[in-house]
Amino acid sequence: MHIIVCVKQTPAGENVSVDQNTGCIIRSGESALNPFDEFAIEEAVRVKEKTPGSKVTAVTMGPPQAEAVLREAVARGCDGGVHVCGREFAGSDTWATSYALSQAVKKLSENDPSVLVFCGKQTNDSDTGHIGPQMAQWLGWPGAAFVRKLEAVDGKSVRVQRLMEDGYDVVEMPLPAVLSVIKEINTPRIASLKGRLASKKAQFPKWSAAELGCDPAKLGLDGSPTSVVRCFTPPQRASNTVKIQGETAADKARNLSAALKEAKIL
Amino acid sequence: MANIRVQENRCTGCGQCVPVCPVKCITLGPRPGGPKGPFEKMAVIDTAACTLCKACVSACRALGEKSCNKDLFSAIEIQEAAAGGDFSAYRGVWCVAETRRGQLSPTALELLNIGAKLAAALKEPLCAVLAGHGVEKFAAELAEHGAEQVYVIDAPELKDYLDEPHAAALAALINAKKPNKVIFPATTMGRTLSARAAILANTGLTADATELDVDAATGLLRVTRPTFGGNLMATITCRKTRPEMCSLRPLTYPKAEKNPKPLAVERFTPEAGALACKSSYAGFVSEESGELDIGGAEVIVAGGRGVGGPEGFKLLHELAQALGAAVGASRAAVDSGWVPYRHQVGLTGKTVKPKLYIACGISGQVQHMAGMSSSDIIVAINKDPDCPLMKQAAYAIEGDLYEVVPELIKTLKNPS
Repeated sequence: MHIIVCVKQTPAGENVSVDQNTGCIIRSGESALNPFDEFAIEEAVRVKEKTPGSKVTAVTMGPPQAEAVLREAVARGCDGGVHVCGREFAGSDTWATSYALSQAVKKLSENDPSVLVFCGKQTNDSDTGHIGPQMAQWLGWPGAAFVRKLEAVDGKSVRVQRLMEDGYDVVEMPLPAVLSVIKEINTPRIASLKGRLASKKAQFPKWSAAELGCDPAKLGLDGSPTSVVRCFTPPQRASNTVKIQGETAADKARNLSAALKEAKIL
Repeated sequence: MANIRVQENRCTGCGQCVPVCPVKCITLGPRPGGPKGPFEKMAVIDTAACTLCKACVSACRALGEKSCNKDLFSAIEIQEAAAGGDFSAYRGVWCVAETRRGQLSPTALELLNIGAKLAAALKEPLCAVLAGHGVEKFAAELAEHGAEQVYVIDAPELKDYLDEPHAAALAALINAKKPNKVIFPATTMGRTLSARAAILANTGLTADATELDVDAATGLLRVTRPTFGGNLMATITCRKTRPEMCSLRPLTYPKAEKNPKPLAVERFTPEAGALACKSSYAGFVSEESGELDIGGAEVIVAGGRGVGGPEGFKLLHELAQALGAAVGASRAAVDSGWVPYRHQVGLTGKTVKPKLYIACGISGQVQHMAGMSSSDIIVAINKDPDCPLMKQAAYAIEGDLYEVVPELIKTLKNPS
């Protein structure tokens, strides 16, 4: 089985702040692996460990420096990676990004039906969750998002639990398929020393739009249906906190309840 | 191909664009024509590394808007292909009415509320879409809340939610009827369904909106949404294709008031084979019977590290029951195993927007705030009066939650 995991380099969450003057995000620290992708990589590696004769390939799309997340993926147990890279991809929205990635998955799978693709739930910079389902649609493959557990997987099919608002659904599908996983699915391991050493030596092929056989009209800023027209900082909450007073806990509870009733919240 | 450039005559070399670049591809370099007055340097963009994200464009434009010298700033521009096409055949605002397990989701009426405003601004009809099996019975409720037309796709293949047939059904209807705007609920189902439908209908999609309006001049749908975990808001449009589609975060708008329209149902049958599906539905497991989901709850009682253990959450469940509320939790409480992941509020959990959020023993780390700061009213109960959530809250109680919460339950159960 060929397991493919899609990853993205994003600004590390703790290093993001907002410039109050320009209303723009300031990325003070380093970029890192999208935190939601850690669960996708871990699940991909776990499936590989359970399935003899399988391998894991990480795929990322991004500028040259995004290669760092492929190294991170190898350190965490992936066997290799490919880098979808080129000017023609710049400015892609989720529609165009999922198209480019689906072309890379197609090239990697080479008509082998025994392919399982993992994605994180979403990225921490755009929070859309579109890429997994959209890739599946471009490929014409089945899939599921918000996957909390793999109940069974072999080279032919997979059965998953999908977290819903009122419980979870069990969904079965034949391979090839695309799954987006949530944090509940596993606890990612830290990279092993062996993995770190392998990641230092790893070489990652760079795939251009031409090598992927992409239609140039579907790529980049020009190929993207949506575009950002304005960015701004969210309005600050008025922080005129009312401190609920009272001698005892019972007084405070009564006073809170009265205040909420007076404000017609309860 | 789209390209980015810095206009030398407008760039002051102030360097404000350098730290906003997520890929660090902007540096300050010498001006090609030598120093110009006080300006020795200018921004230089390494276009091989640039992802055309427009962060620098926004930063420089913001400085331009504040500057009194209109010849400076707004220096970075991106040349894009012009949007073209005649979209006059696309008419109507559609709201996708979600049903699950024989119930109409409350999000359907929330969508009709904002949908009616958009339709009025465009002078176009407001329509609702029902896709499922045995769902036509909900059409009357949608008409009663303002839907002038209800499209119904009823097929046994659509009985349970599976990505493939639902997306195919919706896309077939969109391609046949050509709506102008389509709004989905940003629920588990709506997020996935809209993503697939956008590929099949060959159009753009914006996720998890928290504000929708129509640009008066162009009639474009302006979709505003949080990014970077709520640190930044972005307004996104879809100029190049139709319909313009988005998903809308639950509880963003109140449910539509009654505004009865004559019931007008149009049944739609996709072509034979269009709903073929490789995946199959193998069952549903209700995790905790009778518990409300935090995503759709109007009141949430949430606990954090300060709760101290699983027994504390029993107390919070009791308070939640007294209030008709859902139980939320911080990442610390979930990672400690005190409460299952489905309760987690925050960056790696769910984003919620209840009317009332009662935070018990939660200090309010940025990751948690990202998931709940858009709540209407926040109440914090904490021993530490100086923690971020106690300062952000509308009402703050300094005290031990194990003393305050039982008293609160008593007060709510026996109002004097």
